[in-house]
Amino acid sequence: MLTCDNLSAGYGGADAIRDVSLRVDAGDILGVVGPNGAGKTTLLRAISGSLQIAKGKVVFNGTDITAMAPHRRPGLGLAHVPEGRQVFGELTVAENLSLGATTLPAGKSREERLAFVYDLFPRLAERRGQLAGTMSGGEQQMVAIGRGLMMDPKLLLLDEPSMGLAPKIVTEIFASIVKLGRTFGLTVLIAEQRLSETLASCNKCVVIASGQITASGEREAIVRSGAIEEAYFGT
Amino acid sequence: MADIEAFLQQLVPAIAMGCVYGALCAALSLVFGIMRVVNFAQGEFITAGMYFGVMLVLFLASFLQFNSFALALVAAILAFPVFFCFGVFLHKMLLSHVSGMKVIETTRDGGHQAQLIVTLGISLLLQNVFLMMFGSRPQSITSDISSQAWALGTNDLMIFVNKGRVIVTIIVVAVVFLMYQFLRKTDLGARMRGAADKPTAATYVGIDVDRHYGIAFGLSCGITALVGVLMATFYPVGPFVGFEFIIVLYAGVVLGGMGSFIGAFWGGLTIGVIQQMASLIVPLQLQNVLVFLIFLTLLVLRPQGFFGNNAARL
Repeated sequence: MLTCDNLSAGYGGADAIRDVSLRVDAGDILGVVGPNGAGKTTLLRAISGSLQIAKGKVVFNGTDITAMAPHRRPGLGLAHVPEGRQVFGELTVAENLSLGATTLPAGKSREERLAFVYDLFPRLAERRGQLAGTMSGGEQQMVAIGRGLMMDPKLLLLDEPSMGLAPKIVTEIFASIVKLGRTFGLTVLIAEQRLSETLASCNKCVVIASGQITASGEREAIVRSGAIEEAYFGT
Repeated sequence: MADIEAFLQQLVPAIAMGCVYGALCAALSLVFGIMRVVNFAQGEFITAGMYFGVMLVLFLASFLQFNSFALALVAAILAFPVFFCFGVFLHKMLLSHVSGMKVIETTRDGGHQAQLIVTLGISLLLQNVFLMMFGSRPQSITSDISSQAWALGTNDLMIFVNKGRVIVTIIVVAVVFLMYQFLRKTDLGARMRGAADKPTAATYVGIDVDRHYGIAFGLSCGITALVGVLMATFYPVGPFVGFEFIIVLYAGVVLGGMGSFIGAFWGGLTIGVIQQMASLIVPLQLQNVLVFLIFLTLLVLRPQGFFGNNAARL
């Protein structure tokens, strides 16, 4: 579904990721794990286009999107739920979700998507009139994920969904991500530094450290290989 | 009784002028609030609208036997689409290079320095183009309606209300109301608010942020010019008239709570009323001193403005 070939990207001339190649197949829940500053956010932003790529190629469902304007990519079914949630704080929950459906094709019903999101996160249905900026972190994360789901995506990119959330809420958020992947068959890429929940939810795993991929493959193989310990503790 | 009469006689045109200021502030907040650009050329868009009105009314009057106030209304309606296109064009040619997605991610100051130079440049250029084309002699749209008044009240307490100013006030308030509803109720309005709030996140849902900023700039230009045409029916236009307004208008935008469209209207209304009423207690030359004195006092008491929220922007 998504192939990255030798991606390099960064800020102000310095590459934050170098020669990163990865593959996401339909139905995968891929966990991209690595310590803080490893380049996870840079990788996701390079895929969704908000960061210009210095080198390499991104192919999504057979379309080369390397040079495609970032605002066109959601139309192909690529949803990015950014780090720090970035909900539209001055808009209501319902407006946030409705903006998520900006690229929804004419044949698909916005109400159906809305019902799907409200079913996944019933709390959003209760709070639909509230300004998103006044909600708790966990609720804002639900809004951000819900906003991404409104476009009926083929691939959901989640950047650090656990960031700044209480453990109980993290469990709840990850339960919905697993539900999206296993029950609804959505392809998901989660970038996380939190290991336990990520490894429990994904079926494939990529380890990233200092801007480079150090291991990738089936979850069990990665866990057994010790690559994760090496990335986090440098042993 | 005479005191009350003098006060009311001053208050009614002050509110009329305040509504005009409010509409101009609201238009300014479309650029300031949505694009985060401080547009110094906005004053010249007012001037441009006023000249557009004066010239179009002169032209139309040469072959149409209508009242020149009615022609001014026609000119105001025409000014909106003309200046909308002008704004979109100007944004595409100049402002899109120093604002929007291009600078939000890559520059530390959000491109404000470049925006300042560009809009100040447009402002100076337009002022001198006006001077070359129209000369320095003030001009206005004269009509019988703008010199007629309705008498309100009884013999004990009577005030006169200028007919032209009443019509202008009703129109500008209606324009602000329609624009507010457009921003609140339509999908395009919601996309513009989203692009203003979190530009990068807006691209993640498929919003072309720069295009929506262009539309905001065009709408701001269009409203400003429309109001400018109406202002020409009671205020003489010279090449530098817009510059007189711009500082006071920014005070209105800040007072309303930066970025809030309807807040900017109330801020402008407040500033306008204070300015016009000031001449009751201070000499005319000092009326802006009183405006800023009250403006600063209000900011001390309520730093976030009338409609701003004091939560930090993340």
